[in-house]
Amino acid sequence: MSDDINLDEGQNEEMPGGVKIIREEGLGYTLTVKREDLLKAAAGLKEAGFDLFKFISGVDYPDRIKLVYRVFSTKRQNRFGIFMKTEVPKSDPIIDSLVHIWPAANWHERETYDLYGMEFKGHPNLRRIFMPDDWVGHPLRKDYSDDRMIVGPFNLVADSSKKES
Amino acid sequence: MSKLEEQKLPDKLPDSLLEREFEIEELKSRPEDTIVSQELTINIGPHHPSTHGVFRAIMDMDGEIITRIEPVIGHLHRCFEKIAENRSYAQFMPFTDRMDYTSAMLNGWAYAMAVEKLAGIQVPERAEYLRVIAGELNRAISHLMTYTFSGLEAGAVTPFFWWFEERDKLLDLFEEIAGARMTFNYARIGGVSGDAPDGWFDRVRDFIKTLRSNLDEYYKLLFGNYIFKKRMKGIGVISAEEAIRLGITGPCLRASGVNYDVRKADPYSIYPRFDFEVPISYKGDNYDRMYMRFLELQQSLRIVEQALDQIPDGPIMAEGVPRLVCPPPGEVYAHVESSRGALGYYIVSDGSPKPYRVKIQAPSFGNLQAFTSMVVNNYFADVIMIFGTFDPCFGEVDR
Repeated sequence: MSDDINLDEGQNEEMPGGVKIIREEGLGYTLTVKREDLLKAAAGLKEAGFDLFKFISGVDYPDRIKLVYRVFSTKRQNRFGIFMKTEVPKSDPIIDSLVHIWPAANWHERETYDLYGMEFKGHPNLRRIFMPDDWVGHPLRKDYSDDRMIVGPFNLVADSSKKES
Repeated sequence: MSKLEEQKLPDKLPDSLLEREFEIEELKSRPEDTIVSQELTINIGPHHPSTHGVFRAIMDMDGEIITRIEPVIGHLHRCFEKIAENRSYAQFMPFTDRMDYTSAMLNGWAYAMAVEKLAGIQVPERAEYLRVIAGELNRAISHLMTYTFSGLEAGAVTPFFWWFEERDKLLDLFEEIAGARMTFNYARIGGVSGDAPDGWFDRVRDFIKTLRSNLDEYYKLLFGNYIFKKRMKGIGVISAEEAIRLGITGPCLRASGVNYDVRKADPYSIYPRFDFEVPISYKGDNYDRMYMRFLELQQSLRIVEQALDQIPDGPIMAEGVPRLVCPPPGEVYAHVESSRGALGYYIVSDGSPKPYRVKIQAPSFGNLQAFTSMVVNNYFADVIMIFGTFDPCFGEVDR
């Protein structure tokens, strides 16, 4: 446990790994890393006392997938969580697995693989977790659609304008 | 002379029996190392009555001891996160009740909090108090269910009936404010759906008074029961480091001695105004995980009493909340302490009436993962008990 990182409001602190922590509106402390630096930054966070892994969220943008990791520190006096963001191009959705740093990331990475098609390099058991093994496609991708979706995507703004005319 | 002695034995045993006898004799005469013993693979679920939902586990057993467990989840997967992307912010509210259905109030509250934070909506005081009262009573309901099911798994049927009576009274109270008994849909973006009817606060006070006076008896009935203690104490032990490593949150983490409660660590809503404690225990076994919930239930009642004393008059919905909430582009994260652990919503908005992304951080998902890692090397008979103390809710695991 090291308490050398002092996070106060408005103060940008440098993490081991050469990345800066900023305070983002709505999210709190956030650090954005490049895909190549993810392992280094994660190891730095673990060393700094962020031991409790909470979740991974993918966000699908037209050209890239953003991954948002949430980790929490139970050791620090001022207990707080931090977001770690990274971006992966859609054409090459591969990223390092963090299972050996936070074992709790195991199922969360499987979930992200299942729903977003993200490959986690070095994951011990990268299989689908919610969908059946023979499922085709990754449901949370924006371009995903199949016959089983009873109500298709609809546009609220277009609907309201139709009523006015 | 008895009938038995009268019966005459046949001169010759039937062939099939003779063969069997021969097999046994042959086995006896074999040297020990040639006797084949192998690991057995067995399956429980997906509809085993004690799996608290639709959960399937494939286990490799060495005698009575589990050597490997492979969980299969996703039977209840409805992809709520995809559903959310195709609906307006307010339309997603009823879906939150279908996740952790035993503490639906807390789910709706967390989602409403996230959207309010994103859209910059200030919730009126009275609505905040009503949310706290409903939420804490819902936590009590959820914990009551956990004991009763755990008792059933250990063979104690009486607590189930006794505690379910209390739960039923609470559900009646919820019916009065929310109109439903399970899926309340009580929280709204900017407030709550309905004010408390006349005399409701008094009825809540009466309920708390009766429950308090009964708690002692209930404690003796389940926690003082010899068989229950035998099945619970010293079984399924998790150390604090292990619990953190496996990503457990909620009462199960606090039973291992880690003082982490979102209500204290990152106070939200109006929790700083209340005087309450976060119970902690250090053994981390089955019994502590259950007992933690018993103490927590009493703290919840304490919070509700304080909220009933403090609740002001006023509106229950924020003014000027549009019917179609269009928050500005941005990202937001809001979390609450659910009855099972830290429950969070991460929402990305692109400025349109529909959320761009809703991520639900479900405490049961993390707890179930931890359960499947720590249950190896335990007896099969204890697995169900350990599973019960983790109390995962499969609506939430599979989302």
